[in-house]
Amino acid sequence: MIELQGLSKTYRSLFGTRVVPALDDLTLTLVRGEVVGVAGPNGAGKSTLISLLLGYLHPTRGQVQVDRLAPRRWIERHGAGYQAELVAIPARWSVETALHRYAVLAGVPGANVRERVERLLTDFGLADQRRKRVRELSKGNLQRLGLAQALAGDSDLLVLDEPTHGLDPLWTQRFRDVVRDLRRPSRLILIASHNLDELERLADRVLILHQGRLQKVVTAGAAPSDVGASRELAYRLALTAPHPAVGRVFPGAELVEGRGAEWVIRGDLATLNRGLAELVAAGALVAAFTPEQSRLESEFRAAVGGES
Amino acid sequence: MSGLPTRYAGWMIRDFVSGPGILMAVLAGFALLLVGNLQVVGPSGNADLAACFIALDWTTMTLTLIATAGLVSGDFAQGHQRTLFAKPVNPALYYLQRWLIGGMAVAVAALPIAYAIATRFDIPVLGVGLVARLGLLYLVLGGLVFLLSTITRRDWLVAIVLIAWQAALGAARSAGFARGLLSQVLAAILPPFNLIGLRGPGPEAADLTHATGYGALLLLGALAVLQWRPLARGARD
Repeated sequence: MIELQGLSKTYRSLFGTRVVPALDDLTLTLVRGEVVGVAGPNGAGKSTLISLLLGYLHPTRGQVQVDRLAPRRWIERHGAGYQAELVAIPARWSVETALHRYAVLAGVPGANVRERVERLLTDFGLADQRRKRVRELSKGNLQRLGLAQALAGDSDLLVLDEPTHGLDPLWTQRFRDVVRDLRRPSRLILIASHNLDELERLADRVLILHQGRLQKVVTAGAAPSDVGASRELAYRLALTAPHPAVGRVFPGAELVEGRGAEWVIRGDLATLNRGLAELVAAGALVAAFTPEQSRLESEFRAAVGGES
Repeated sequence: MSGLPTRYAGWMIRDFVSGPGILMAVLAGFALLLVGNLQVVGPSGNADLAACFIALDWTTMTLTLIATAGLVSGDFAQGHQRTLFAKPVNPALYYLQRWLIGGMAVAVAALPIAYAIATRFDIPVLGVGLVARLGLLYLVLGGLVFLLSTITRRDWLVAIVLIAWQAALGAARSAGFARGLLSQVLAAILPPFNLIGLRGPGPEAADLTHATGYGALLLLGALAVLQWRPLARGARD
């Protein structure tokens, strides 16, 4: 669906005295049916990439095409569902008015607009806020309105920039359900976020950007063995009670301060499995064994060198 | 999907009426009050009639400035364009429609003033000619602000400076000054505000062609900028 060919963007001040490279030589194909995450530290180029994909910015070099069309041309024909990082909706519009207007702009037939607006108001918990002006909304509600307007149409391209920023845990969870419901074979969903846990749960692939370059494409949900069984991993081991065998089986185990029977242990997959078997054989009762960092988090740290 | 730009004309009109429309109504109301209270001076009342037409000119220009100020730049300054133009909407057509609504509003506000003048002085000023001259004024001045609005937030201010500059240059040339090459070039380049007034006899055919062509170029320029300019300056604005 989306083809990026050597895509680069450099910001220049009016007289060229200040040059800021934002994206450098990005080549990639994004296909319908997948959910793609975009991760990276601040200034990595995530928002610039989105602006280029939507045709808001022109590339300095390279090109981006959506179904072999320039992005603007594609969007003017089909429209995209887009939630900006900074939700900007005219402040004097009411919530209901805003959704009604964005549905009209999205090309929803007149007879269906009211029904669509009602559904969005209900789905995003905004029904009791419908008469409120946009300027009166809390950050969380504004974020939900931003997300609702992005879904006012029925586009095959959804671009969500920091969609859960400002949402409470309940709505963050609800957002995940919404994205799962939005999946369909003809649709590409792109989510840029700092929240790696969220991307790991939702995305099929995660692009890790750093200093404008694509550092890594991580296939989310893959087993750790996919990245090599010899790689050192960090896990948190919790026992029901302290056990003397821990120090012998895992000599480098670090006791988690303030937690009597919890350790951080490191090693490759084989070592960890052997050690666990030995520990259980020695009579220890394992209460939890969880990755110290998610896989995406590990990949992210490796890609950006600890900066976040 | 319903893709006609007219699908959002209704709420564009409502937003216009509850936004710049209020200021325009106040201004038009004030002008009507003024015309109604003028005393006829002399047997023909010509002195006041001339003053009325000058007032009509300036009122219409002010109405045009109000109707078009921030037309594009207002949305871009607030970042509204990002959400608007992710929808299947062409920016040039979107703002052209908004510009045309502004033109209709100027006509609706200015024509009653002209009608009041005609009634007050019992003269035939209304008709196709006046509407055409109103249209020409809006094409040139409204087109200028539209074009400026695609570039700068201070569109109306730059337009006022250009009007003042053109008026000063015209006055200097009438008084026999500013006859040099630079002045001649400037007189040719600056928007022909001197040709688009509503008072006096209509412009000559050559002047009419110049003003219409100039206005059309401004309008096409604005549409071309909207068609080709990036819709954002940076990653987030």
